[in-house]
Amino acid sequence: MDKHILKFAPELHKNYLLFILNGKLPNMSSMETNRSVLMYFALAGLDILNEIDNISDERKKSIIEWIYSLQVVNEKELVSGFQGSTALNTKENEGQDSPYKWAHIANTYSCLTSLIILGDDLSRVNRQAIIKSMKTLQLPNGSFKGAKDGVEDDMRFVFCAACISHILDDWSGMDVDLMVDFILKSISYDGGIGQGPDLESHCGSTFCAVASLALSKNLHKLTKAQLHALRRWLLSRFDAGFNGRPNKPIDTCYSFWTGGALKILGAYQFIEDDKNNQFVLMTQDRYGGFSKWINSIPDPMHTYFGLAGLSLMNFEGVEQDVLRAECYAAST
Amino acid sequence: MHGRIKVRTTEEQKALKHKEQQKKLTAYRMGMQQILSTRKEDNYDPVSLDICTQLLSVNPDIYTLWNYRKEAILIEIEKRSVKLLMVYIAVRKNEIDGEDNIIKFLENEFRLTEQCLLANPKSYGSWHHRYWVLMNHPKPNWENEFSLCTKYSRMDDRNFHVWDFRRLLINKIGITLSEELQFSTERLNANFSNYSSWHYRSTLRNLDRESVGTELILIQNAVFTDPADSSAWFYLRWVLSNPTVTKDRRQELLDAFGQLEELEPDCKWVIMAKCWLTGSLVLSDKDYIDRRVQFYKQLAKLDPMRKGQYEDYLKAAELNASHVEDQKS
Repeated sequence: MDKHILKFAPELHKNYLLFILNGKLPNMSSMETNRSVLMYFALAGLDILNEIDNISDERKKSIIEWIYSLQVVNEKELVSGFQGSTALNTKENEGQDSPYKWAHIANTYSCLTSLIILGDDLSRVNRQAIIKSMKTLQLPNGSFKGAKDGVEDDMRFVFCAACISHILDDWSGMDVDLMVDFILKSISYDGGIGQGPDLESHCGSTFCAVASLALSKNLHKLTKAQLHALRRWLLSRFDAGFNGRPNKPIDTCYSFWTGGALKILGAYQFIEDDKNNQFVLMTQDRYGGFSKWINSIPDPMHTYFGLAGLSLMNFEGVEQDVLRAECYAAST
Repeated sequence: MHGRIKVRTTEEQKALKHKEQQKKLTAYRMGMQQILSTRKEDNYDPVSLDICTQLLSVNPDIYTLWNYRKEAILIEIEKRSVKLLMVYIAVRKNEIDGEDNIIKFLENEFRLTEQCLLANPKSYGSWHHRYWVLMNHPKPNWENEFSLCTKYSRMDDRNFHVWDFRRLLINKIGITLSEELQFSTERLNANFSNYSSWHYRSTLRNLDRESVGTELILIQNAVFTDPADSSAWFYLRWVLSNPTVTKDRRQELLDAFGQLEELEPDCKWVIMAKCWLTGSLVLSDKDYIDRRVQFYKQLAKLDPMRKGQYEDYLKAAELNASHVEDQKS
């Protein structure tokens, strides 16, 4: 194996992420309406590399302005929050409420976290409007849908809601007990957690569930048996790298999802993780960025989660314990 | 975006690709503008709907476009019912005609979603829209949807969208539990390592004494066929948590796994299963505790990636062992 490939190359990743941040999005047009999520991956990745301060104040300001241009405040339809891009904003509907000019919970999450990373004080965020609108996104079973209409509901958006509540330090936008109930009901026969009740366990939804419990200070609602089963299932995902479900191939991003869930539960130290950083490094691209598997094309998501995964391993050159930024590691 | 393999392209190919992308971009921008500017509350522009179809075929993840379609569908349904109401008073037979027209109209939606799903079988928007259309359809053909499910599960039997869709369908069709169980058993017998199949099975019913027996037979078939695959073992762990599992049953399984261990001495799952089986036995029995201590030591050797976990369990087990000693003395 070429030793050069296994050496961590933070400079290259910084360049890749700056490339993304500056809007050069090769082959990613399908992500247009979720542009803010890509921005978040880029900024969060740069943050882990301690490169945010190397972005000029001017540039930071222009990004912050762009983010605020995505804010929607619409008390009538209760669709306040942030959009993912200006794709649905036209000359005609500029500066006014308009059909489909809605927030999407994932974009609200990405925009808020991006603002914080850029050092903004959130003073221009209409917190009340966001919380009020977010309340309408919670379903009777405790789950969250992504937006007002026509969108699915699942654990990903529960996590977004929990993060938004944590960031704004305001939990009145949700019925917390109901959310906890939804999470507990989504625990599957094998101890893992699915996107909702009866659905297959998946490390993405498991991380979202565990993190939401931690953020809302409800980890203790897991019984000892549930905790053990969860641990067992998560630890079984490890096979040099992590997979997201049994019998699926290992994938860089699960170094964060699965690793992160284990960290929150205080069980990360149970894996022998030397090999994990090696696997992640094997998906490192020679021009920067990380990809899902070895010899695949890198993308912003796997780049960020690859870096985040490395940070969980106390890897040199990377900001430690990224979960400080993502959410609390309330392991007790 | 995910997992695309690298392919070299020449400068010429790159330039051509860029040109194509620019064309697509222009078309996309103009399309979106057209759709948003012609949106009205009580009417929709068929040209816009057409453009919407084209855009979705390329990018099924813009859920706004699916919403636009839903609005158009509701307007169509509303129009037909108003028409129907007026015509019904005059001539009854038109009721059927009106319904046929809506059915024809909705065929487009089925065609479009199927096209989008072929390109991207994991598009939340496409699955969501298809189900929504079925729910608003005057005569939904649920059986047809079942065949679609089967087709997609053959393409990727781990695609949870397909399994979830199936779950929604069986409630509508009125498929019996025994039919679904049979389906589940067939799938598993064809491939014991299909984890999604085992999961699906776990959601079909609550187990009682009799069904626990059936499940244990299925599990034993699976683990004897492929002891290294985790799927059946996780399922076993769940079945063992059922209160109707007797001590005798556990002993039977211990014996069976003893045999399996002789065939597969390096299989960690067998040892783990023995842990599970001896776990609920009376803790004050030192013999069983000692055995557990041995199991954990074995596991730490057989499964070094999770050594830390077993050492953690070992500590607890040894602590228990010393308590028992103290109690006896």
